[in-house]
Amino acid sequence: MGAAASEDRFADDDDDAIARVLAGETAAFRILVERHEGPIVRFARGLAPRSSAPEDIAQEAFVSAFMALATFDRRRGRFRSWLLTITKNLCLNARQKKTPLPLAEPPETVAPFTPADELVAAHARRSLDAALGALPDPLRSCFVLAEIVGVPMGEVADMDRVPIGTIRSRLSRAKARLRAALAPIRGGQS
Amino acid sequence: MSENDPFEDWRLDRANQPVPDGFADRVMAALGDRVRESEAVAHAPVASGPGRVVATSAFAAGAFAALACHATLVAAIWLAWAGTAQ
Repeated sequence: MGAAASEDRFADDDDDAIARVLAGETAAFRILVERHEGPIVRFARGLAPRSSAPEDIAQEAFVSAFMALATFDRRRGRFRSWLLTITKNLCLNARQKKTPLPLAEPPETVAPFTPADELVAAHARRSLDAALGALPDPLRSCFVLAEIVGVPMGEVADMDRVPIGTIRSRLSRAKARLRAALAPIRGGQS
Repeated sequence: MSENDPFEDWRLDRANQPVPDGFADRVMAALGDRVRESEAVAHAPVASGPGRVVATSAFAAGAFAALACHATLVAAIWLAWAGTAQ
């Protein structure tokens, strides 16, 4: 009950902030940005091509949402879902414009005398980033939303307008492909 | 971090990455720029005052001239046809 009640309270607070923005109080949009910046930035990081800056895409998602706020219909879903959908469309547009590459992230620096375990862990992270970048868009989006951003599967299903069983299946396939990317590393360790 | 599951370590690492400092400030600044841009477009100068009067008069004069030419041509054809018939 706790998590659901908290989510509902957030949705009500969103409605209040949205009403204030629509009444002309532009500064009230900051409440929405601060409340949702974590999920939006993490989603953009997981979905944007490496050649683009995910924070720029997240910023553009908020600005686009502000400009189209009058069209947001609360009955069709949560504000967070709407924002995530805008972010997803911007990321997919960026991916179509540029060659899909692995997950966007700052370059990882490895110290020259890093212990072997740390090198293996860094190698695993890079392999998983590359594997995530190589996933088909529906699997990648589903995995990032459910496993990295922490969106409930029902909400992911609503966003993609597919049954929850489809989301479970996509998630399972995404995890299997990602874990398969670790097989050579584990094989090398043994 | 779990020692035996690099997949779970990686997932948690990605899930807990912080948002850059000042991100909300950056969004609000970009939003202000966008609002100013759209207001500038909405209030872009259009023809008004003497310029608008001159343009409207020129258009009306042109339309009148075209109409007069057309009427003269029709009248000439009608007169020619009437003359031929007699």
